[in-house]
Amino acid sequence: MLLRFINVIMLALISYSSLAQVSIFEVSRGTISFHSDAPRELIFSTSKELRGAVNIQQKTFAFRVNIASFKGFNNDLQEEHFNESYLESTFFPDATFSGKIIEDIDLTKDGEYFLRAKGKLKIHGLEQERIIKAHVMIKDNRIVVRSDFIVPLSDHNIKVPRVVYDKLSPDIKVKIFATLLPKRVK
Amino acid sequence: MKKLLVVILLCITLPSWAQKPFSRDYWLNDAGVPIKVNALILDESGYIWVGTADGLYYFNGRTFNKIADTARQPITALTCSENCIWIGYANGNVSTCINNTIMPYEIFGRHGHSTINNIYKDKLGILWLCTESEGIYCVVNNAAIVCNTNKGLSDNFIYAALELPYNSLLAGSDKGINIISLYHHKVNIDVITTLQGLPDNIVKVLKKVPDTTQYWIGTQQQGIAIFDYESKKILPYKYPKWKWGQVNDIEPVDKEHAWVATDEGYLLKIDLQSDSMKITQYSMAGDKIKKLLRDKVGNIWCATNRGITMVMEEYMGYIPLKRPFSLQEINALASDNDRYLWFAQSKELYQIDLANFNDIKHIFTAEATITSLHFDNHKQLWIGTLGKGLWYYDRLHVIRHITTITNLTQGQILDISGYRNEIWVSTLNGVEELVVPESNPSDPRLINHHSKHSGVGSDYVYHLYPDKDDHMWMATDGAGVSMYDGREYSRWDSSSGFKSQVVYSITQDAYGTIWAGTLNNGLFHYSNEKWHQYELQDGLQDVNISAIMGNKSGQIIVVNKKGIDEWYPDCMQFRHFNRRLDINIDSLSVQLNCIAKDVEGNVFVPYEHGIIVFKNIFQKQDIMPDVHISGLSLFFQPIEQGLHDFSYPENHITIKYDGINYSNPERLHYRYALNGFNDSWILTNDESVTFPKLPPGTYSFRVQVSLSNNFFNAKESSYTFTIAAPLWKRTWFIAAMLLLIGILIYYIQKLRDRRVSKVSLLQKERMIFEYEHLKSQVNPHFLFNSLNTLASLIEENTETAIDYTVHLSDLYRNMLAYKDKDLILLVEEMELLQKYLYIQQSRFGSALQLKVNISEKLLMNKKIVPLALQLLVENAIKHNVVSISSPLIIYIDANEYTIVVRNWLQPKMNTERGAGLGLINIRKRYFLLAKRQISYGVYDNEYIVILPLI
Repeated sequence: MLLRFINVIMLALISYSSLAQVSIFEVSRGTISFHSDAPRELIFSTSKELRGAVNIQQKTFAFRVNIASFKGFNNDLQEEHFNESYLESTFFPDATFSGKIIEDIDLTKDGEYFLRAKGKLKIHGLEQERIIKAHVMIKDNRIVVRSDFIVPLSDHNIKVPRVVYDKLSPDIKVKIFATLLPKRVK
Repeated sequence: MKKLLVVILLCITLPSWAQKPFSRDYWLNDAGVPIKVNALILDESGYIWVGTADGLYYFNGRTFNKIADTARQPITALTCSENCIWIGYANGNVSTCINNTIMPYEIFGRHGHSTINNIYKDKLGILWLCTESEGIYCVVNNAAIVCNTNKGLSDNFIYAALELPYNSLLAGSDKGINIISLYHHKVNIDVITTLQGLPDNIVKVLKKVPDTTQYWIGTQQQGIAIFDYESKKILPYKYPKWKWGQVNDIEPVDKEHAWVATDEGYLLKIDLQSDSMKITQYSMAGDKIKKLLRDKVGNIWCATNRGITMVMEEYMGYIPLKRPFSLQEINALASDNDRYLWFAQSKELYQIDLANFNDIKHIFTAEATITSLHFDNHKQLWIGTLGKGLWYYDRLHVIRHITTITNLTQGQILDISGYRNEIWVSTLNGVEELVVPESNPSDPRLINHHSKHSGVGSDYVYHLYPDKDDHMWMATDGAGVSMYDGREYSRWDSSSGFKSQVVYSITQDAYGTIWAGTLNNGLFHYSNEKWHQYELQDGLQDVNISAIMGNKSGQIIVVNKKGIDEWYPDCMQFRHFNRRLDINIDSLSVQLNCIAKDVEGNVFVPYEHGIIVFKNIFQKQDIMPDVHISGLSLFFQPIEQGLHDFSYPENHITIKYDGINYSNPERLHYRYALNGFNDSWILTNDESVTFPKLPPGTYSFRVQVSLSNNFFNAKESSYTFTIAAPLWKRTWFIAAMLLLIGILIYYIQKLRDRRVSKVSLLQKERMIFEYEHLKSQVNPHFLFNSLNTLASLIEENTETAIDYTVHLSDLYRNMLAYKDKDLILLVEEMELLQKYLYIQQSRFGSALQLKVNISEKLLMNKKIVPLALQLLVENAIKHNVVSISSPLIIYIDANEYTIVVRNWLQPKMNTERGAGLGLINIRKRYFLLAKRQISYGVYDNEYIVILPLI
């Protein structure tokens, strides 16, 4: 009993000190998925390779995902088109979003927040200034981020041939779920 | 639970319930291709400048003109200062546009190329650039000073900046607002974020509340707020939860009103009340509204993703009505001065709730067609029918037929009106004046009958209008206007200066003037005890007027067949509303006086989709068009503006001008005058005028523009230019020529004088020479020697003596022959010299020798002063020893230019004294004749004389 109590105290101290020191949190598990809801086809694809970090002191962030890591298309041809024709992942391998957190919120404190992340969203090599809303949960030295937003294809010069107009939505819905942990100090 | 559901449903549907205002979309190009508009400004001339993703355009109300721009970059910000448009681009560059020419503006000291979100020129001439990631730049004379997070700015992403009092600047960023002030060259920045009470950290828009030190703040998520600069606090205005999306722009109208544009396509009208904001929402279906602009005629211009949209809501709105509303059947309209509008369609009476247009309530079905509705002072409704008399509808919703007055029981009622506790009813047989007892309003009593017999112009009165002084004005059929002031009648018909027989309606404007609308004679107003007429040339669309109504701010709404004309008393012009406005107004009611006014002064006119609401115009609106001289051409070749001086042959000038108007751009009328050529005004609808073959002079071209043929207070633009007189007609040229001629004459005179004096001098010299010469030839020595020689020759050889005598006489004859000549040929001189030498040689023999070396050509071509050589030879003989032991050898050589006479110097011990005039005389003669010098002297023991050959 006493041991457990000491343990708790120790853990609290450790976590407190680490919180005080570590201001950078890294994505430990992150998934990003998009879905296109067109009259004649529904496409849903997910990547588990969302990488990124958040600096809770400076309130800045950077996220990146490899385009080729998106899986789960309706067929292989679709995946091939996605990579080669639309997003040209050989030329533009990554999609990134980096910037700052707008709200005056102390992220070092546990809680549940609705934040706006503002920065440059770069897809298909084209940057767009975006404000993206996110739901953030901070608890026990762990940050859980959820967000969904829309990417209009026209914003990123992703050209869609006329024949697939009714198979591909001009506005792609994107969902993010990521768990961030303090960056391990080597 | 059910209630809750209803509430939830209402909440959800509220934003979508927003009405689309009267608006008109403009495409920037003829093809109708959407162009994203990012910036809108109004310049000093009145043009709207449109900054788009596809370059810069300007708009005069009719056409868009694109300015050539080599930058080919999306324009993100515009501002205007002193006829210069400042342009900010997405790639961070800045340009200026002067006289429709874009020039890049170089900025030194800037590092970075982030998008310019806002550009702003302050009163001191400082250019402020709000950038996306570099903070704010303050640019003076092409040099930039940056203000960014390093200097204390809360964030480098700046959306907007605004000048504050006392050398300060307000800047909206991603992290709140910054108050940047400069004290003694030290920058001080105060930051206000959500921690200090700001509703949202992302401040996209900052605008000044007119006439205050308060500022509108538009945010990304939390709507709008007002920041008070004095207290540095956000004012606690209450408003409903923000549900219209990101605020993109705010356009303040006055202290209490502003328009707000949002990213989700809402246009919001904000009314500031004591502690809350009243928000009226309008939907612009699917358009992102990026920027707002309010022009001087009261339009709100919205920059959208497709082009620009003009919103008329500030002066004109509408109540959309669905069935049972029918424009063809509507007969009467009335406002109860509360929240309901009432209208009658054939036999039916309906009520519209102004707070909820969808609610049309049926009140009552009459036994005959309802012709008129009138609310008395107690808000009780009087209903007139065609054939079934007068009806009464009270606040308790009880309908009664008035049967106590026999004339009215089955009467044909044209109009009902009244004041105080009186009701006036116009029937086919004159006007009945009734008094309504307060105790029993449904039992009015007849107190007076007004008819042709009693003094009204006609028994048939279309409209009864009580003015503010309780005088009852009557619009009669066939007898103009009549008025009853309680005691007697006044009448105005064709015999007393009122030109129209048939008058349909009468109204009084906010200033107290009475107006009358007529059949086929237009509009009249009564001032200074006279009726003044407005007709087609005064701007009316049609002279057959079915209804008129004055509002509370001075305008008169005139309904006619072709549309609606609204009289603006400040501008003395009509604003027109018709199908050409492209706002879906195609037809209006033809019923007479089917018009209503509420207590606020809004005027209601039915049209095919419901009821148009003409609002009071409390914010000044100037509908008078502007005019701008837009181009100059010389012989049809465009030339740069700003040229004012032309040379004599440049006398074919074309001036282009452009009327700018956003109320009725299709109705512009121009007139121009070219002062200095013809002072009279010339009316035209053309937008350019050519003056061929203008005589030299100074001209002042003036052009005015108006919406009608009335140019009172019209805006004017002028251009003064001068065509120079031809060279030969200019005073300075004539003076110079006269002077030149004078100088020329003077010189010619002087030259002649000099020549004359030279000739006379020459003659004098020659005479002296002759005299001297003759003197020398009749010199006793010469004569004595010659005669001695002759004497000895006679003895020795008679032949020779004769020859000698002949030579001597020849010599004298030649001397006499040449004495008048200025020049003789060299050959003649040599002949003479030979004769002289013969005489001398006869005396000296071989002791005197002459060696001549002159080519034949020179002898025949060159000239010399007569007797010059003879004189030189004579001098040589005279001054030198001539003897057999030392003979005197005289050499004469000549080249192209000179003749040289020389001999060895062997001076006599006892020289014959000569006058010494010989050489001097020759020199003078040469000088006078040819300005040539002779030279002589001793050189290397030789006496040399060089004479020029001529």
